[in-house]
Amino acid sequence: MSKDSMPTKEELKKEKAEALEILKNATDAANALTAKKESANKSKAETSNSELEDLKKMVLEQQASLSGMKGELSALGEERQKLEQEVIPVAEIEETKPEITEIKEEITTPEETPENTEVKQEEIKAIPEPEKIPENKSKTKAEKRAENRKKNGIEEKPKKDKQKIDETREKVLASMEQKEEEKEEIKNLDLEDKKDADKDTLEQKVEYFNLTGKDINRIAQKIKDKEYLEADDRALYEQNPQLFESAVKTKWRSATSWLAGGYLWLQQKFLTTPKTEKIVITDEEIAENHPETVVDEDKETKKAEYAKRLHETLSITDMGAAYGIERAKMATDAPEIQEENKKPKKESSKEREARLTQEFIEKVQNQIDAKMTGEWKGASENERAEKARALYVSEKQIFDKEKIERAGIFTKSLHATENWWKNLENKKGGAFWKTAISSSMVGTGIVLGGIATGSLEASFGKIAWRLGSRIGLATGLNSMLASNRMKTIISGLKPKDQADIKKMKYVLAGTGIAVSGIMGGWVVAGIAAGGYGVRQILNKIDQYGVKKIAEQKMETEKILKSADFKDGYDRNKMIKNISVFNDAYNKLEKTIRLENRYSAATKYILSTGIGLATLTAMTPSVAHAQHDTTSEVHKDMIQDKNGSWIEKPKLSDAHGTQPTDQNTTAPITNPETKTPEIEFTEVKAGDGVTQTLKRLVDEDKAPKWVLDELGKNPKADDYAKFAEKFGMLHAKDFEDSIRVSKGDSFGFDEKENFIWKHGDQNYTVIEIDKNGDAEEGDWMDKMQDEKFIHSQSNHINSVENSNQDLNAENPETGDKSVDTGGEGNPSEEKIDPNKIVEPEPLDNKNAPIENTPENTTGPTVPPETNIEPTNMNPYSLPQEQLDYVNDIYKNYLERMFPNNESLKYWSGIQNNSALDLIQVKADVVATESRGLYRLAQTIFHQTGLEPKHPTLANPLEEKETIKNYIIRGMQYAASKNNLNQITL
Amino acid sequence: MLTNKNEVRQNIIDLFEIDKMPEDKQEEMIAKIGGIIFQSVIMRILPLMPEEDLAEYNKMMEENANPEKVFDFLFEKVPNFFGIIAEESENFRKEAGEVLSKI
Repeated sequence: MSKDSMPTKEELKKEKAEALEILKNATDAANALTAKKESANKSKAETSNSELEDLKKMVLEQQASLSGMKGELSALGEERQKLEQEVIPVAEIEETKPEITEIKEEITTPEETPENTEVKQEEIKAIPEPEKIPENKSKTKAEKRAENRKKNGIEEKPKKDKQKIDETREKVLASMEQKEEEKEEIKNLDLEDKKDADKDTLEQKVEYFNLTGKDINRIAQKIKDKEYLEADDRALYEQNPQLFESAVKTKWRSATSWLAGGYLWLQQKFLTTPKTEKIVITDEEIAENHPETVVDEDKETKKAEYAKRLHETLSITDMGAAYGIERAKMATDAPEIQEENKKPKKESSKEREARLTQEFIEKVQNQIDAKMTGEWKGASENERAEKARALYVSEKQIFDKEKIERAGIFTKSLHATENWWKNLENKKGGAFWKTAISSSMVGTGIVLGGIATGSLEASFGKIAWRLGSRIGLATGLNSMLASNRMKTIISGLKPKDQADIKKMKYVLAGTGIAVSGIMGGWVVAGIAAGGYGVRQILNKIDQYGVKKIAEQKMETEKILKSADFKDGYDRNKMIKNISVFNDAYNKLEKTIRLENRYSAATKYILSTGIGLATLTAMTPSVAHAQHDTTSEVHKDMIQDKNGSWIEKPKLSDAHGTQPTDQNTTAPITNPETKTPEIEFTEVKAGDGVTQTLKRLVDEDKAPKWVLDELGKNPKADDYAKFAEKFGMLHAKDFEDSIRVSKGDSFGFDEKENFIWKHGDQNYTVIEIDKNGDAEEGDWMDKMQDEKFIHSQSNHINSVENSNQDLNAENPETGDKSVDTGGEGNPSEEKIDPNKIVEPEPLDNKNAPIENTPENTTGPTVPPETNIEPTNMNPYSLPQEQLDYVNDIYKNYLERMFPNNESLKYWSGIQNNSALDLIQVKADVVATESRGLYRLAQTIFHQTGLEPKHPTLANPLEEKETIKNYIIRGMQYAASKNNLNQITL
Repeated sequence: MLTNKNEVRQNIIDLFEIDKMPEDKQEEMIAKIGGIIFQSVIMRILPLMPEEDLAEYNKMMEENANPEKVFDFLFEKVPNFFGIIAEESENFRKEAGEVLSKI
């Protein structure tokens, strides 16, 4: 190598300075990166792995960049070596690079010898640390050179070496980062070897998602064995059920592979692709996304910041691979990702169930469509509809069974539930429960329908719950009772002894009371649904109670008669018999007390229909008032062992006899609560709340505040708004006015409070003041009060009366002079026991008890008017024909009840249930009723007319009275020209 | 589209015309539908139960416990049990309404 070809001293110095510059910058960058990394490591535990991910990503970028530039670095080295080795003639240099001449002139230092201008390789290697090199020196020289170039008119050209230096600087920076990467967690990623399915590596990757292969294996095994998952495991399971479902099928290794695969996929897409647009962050991107950072911020910091933000949308930590991938897909517009999105996604369990349900619906619809045009074509429309419904229910049951099989870890429990439900009917009282639960399930939806359409407030359920706890069994039965089950249960019990009575009590009280306690809330739903045949059921219960009393009486009579006094009085046997009787009686009495309490409550609710429930639901203050006044309501009551409220024993009954107070003669009306000064407007048939309100105003019975509220010339909508404001439902969205009953009435008291009075029974449903504050009326107090429950008193007195009779027949067995009045109660002393008790209608056997309000008022109709027919004419008979029917009717009655005594008997039973009369057996009918019984049977068989009674279709239907049934039956027969067949 | 009025009226009873069925059929249909809704309710609430409650529930089922006890348990342990019943009942109503909409 010739001397001329050697680089000049200036050139070497320049290169040295530039190299030092590069190293200095690289050192600074490395220091900054190290500091950042240390910071990231420190906060790793708290700030999430996402920062770590940021760092990883940055390093990976640099790594990728570096690998791309390795070749260039190598080329640069070669060129440098070449420069060192080549001897370039000075003339050639001066010719090709005139600036060299200028620089040469500047160098005048005497000690500069050609020898000194040679820079040894060792010197280059021994470049001092960047911080030790004064920056000013090179800067000054550069400036001087620039000035000289300017003076000489030489245009500065970009130098190849300068570009290379820039590149080198980047490479060094990348190299530093790469070293960090190798030291830190990046090495664990093992990015280069995607095929490495080594167990440990996979587990490491799974751990990245807070799962280990062991976790998956354990949970999967439990799922497979249908064992219960502990809370921690369930949390993991819920994080990604698909993973575990997959693991159940494929064992944990496959699952982990799947997970790791997902992770690797993500890496491949977002972390390791060198030039992925969204990941390699350019200055332009930074400027675009973070313009506020462009001017002052360090480039690396800006990069890091943006990378962090970007990565937040890509974070896969703690999300599970699938979720992370999903999010990642959302976060990128990369074509390959868009393509990926087009592929069918893995369904979640919810999505799968939704899909299967939709498929099920379509399948059944198709089946129905096919059958409608095929197999069912010949059937009538109704028949086809019925078949379609049956098909749907049947298919739904099958579908649910399949659903249970898909329920994973809960399949076992669901199977157990299925068996439990199936076996319910085999349990004592289980059939009742099954039907009752079903009824409630059906009824609850109806309430929700009301909520969904805004007819009921969403808080209905909550309020209803409280309401339920108040009303108790009444509402429970209302929703839960379904006809035949209860009848079957009841009729299946034939109490022959105390054990059976206990059994009966258990069924009635045990199920019933418990029902109300636990289902109080949703049973109110049944009210809105109308209550399934509850009247019928409750009447049956009443009838059952009476029947059992009658049977018990007969049993008791037998026992008493078995004590043959002629052959010798067996005192011990008699005492024993009486003891048995009393015991049985007491037990029976309690049952009846409970039954009738519920019966009365339910009767009330039904008579007001949906009104109470909805009114209460829409008037939270009512529910609040209910809640707050519970203790007040029960102040004179005690709870029996079933938890039901019963009246405290009356101290006034000093003789220990059953209370037979004025309520038996006036069972409903309580004079103390009458408010005669209030002018009420009665709800007429077909009236709703708004119509009644309007009449109230029209009749000048409304106070000023109501008129103000309504405004001038109020229209129907104004009344409706008024009603709504005070929590009353109006008929706007409903077909009829079932929320108020015919016979209810509205009025205002002396304080101008609005009063809604129920029927002709003087208790109030609700009171609303001018501020719209509603308070519950005294209906519950009345209803809870034993005095109010007419039938209970009647039953008790029936037995009591019977007891008296027995005692009268057998003077030795008891006191003949039964005290029917309580001490200190003058009104009771005036009562004639014979008038208190309703005539025993059917020889005390199977006596039908009608729960209609008419029956509760007692025999108040004068005997001579009892044979008068009603004005009913449901079949629109011409007047002449109607008169003829009425004449026949009166004739029959006169024949059946020829004297005042028998007419009085008729007055006592005419409003009893015709259905009950028809259903009893002839051999148990009392002599006085036999003619009536035959007439009713004749009408039934000749006309086919069934007495009206509550049904599921029309639960609010009153039980048709005997009187009305006979008249209607005769009119119907007349309309068919068959009246001559209705004979006595 | 159903009006409010119609929707209110279009409940399960109406959908299945239970009111037009003979009494014994009414009961049978109500029991079937009630059973379906009940199963749906149970399917929904089981995953909500803590381990010990689920174990207790399973035990009750296996021992064929009294319904009273079971429902006591469910009302006590499952928050908003009433609401869940109502929702499942409504789900059934909607589904049935969709399937039977063409008849």
